[in-house]
Amino acid sequence: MSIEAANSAGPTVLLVADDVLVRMPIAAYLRDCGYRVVEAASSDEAVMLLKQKDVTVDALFTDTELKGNLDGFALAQWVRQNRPKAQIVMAGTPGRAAAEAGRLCEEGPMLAKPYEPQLVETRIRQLLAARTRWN
Amino acid sequence: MNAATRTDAHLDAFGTVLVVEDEVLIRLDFADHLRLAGYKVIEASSGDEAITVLRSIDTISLVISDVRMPGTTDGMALAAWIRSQMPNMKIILVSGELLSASVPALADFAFRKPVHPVMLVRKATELLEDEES
Repeated sequence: MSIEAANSAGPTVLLVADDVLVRMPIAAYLRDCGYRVVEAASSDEAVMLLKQKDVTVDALFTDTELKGNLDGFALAQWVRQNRPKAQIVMAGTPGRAAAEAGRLCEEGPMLAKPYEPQLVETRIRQLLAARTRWN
Repeated sequence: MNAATRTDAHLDAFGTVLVVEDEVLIRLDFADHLRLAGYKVIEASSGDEAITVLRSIDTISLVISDVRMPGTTDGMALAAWIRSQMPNMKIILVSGELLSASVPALADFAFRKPVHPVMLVRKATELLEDEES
């Protein structure tokens, strides 16, 4: 399968989160629901991806606080103006992000959750707690 | 064994690939090709993110990293950290310039940029299958 075919294989979520311990479990969960997930670690990375015409984005899923020139709200505004067909999902906490991901799964290509979003939230909290211990 | 005969379960046994690259379009291209080949891929945008991931989970078998990255940890520092903490980890470095003599100790393989993602997937497969046999 070519990259072009992969791009059109299913709906694409652009996931923007500057903490890799939040981004990693949410991306994995959305992929398990059947979404193609394109990851950005900052708003600058997100804008670079969004400016590529051959990168399809059906939904923006963004944290509210981000590294880069734009925060989540400003990024959402940019998307509304430049990619008006894209759905916008914003979440400021791991719990909220997990719940929103669960909702996307119910609408998504497989129309079902692979596991409860609560498990995603728990996983994120475990990862964050472990990092606090080694820092 | 060629790609057509691999199953997901077989590829899961090879573990996850961590791609470390600060240029998002390159990172996406590498990750896409690896996923299309059937590998599970985690993405890091910096050496520091890579270390955070590697400290957090133990399912990664191969790290593919750019050498020149902004922040406190470039690809060489990342490779050195990995070698000290997890000596069984396979490492591929990707560099825009000729790499120094220290590379053979730090990485299992090094590519000079630009590298076609297909070549990267081929080398990843070779390193991971070598590990299994």
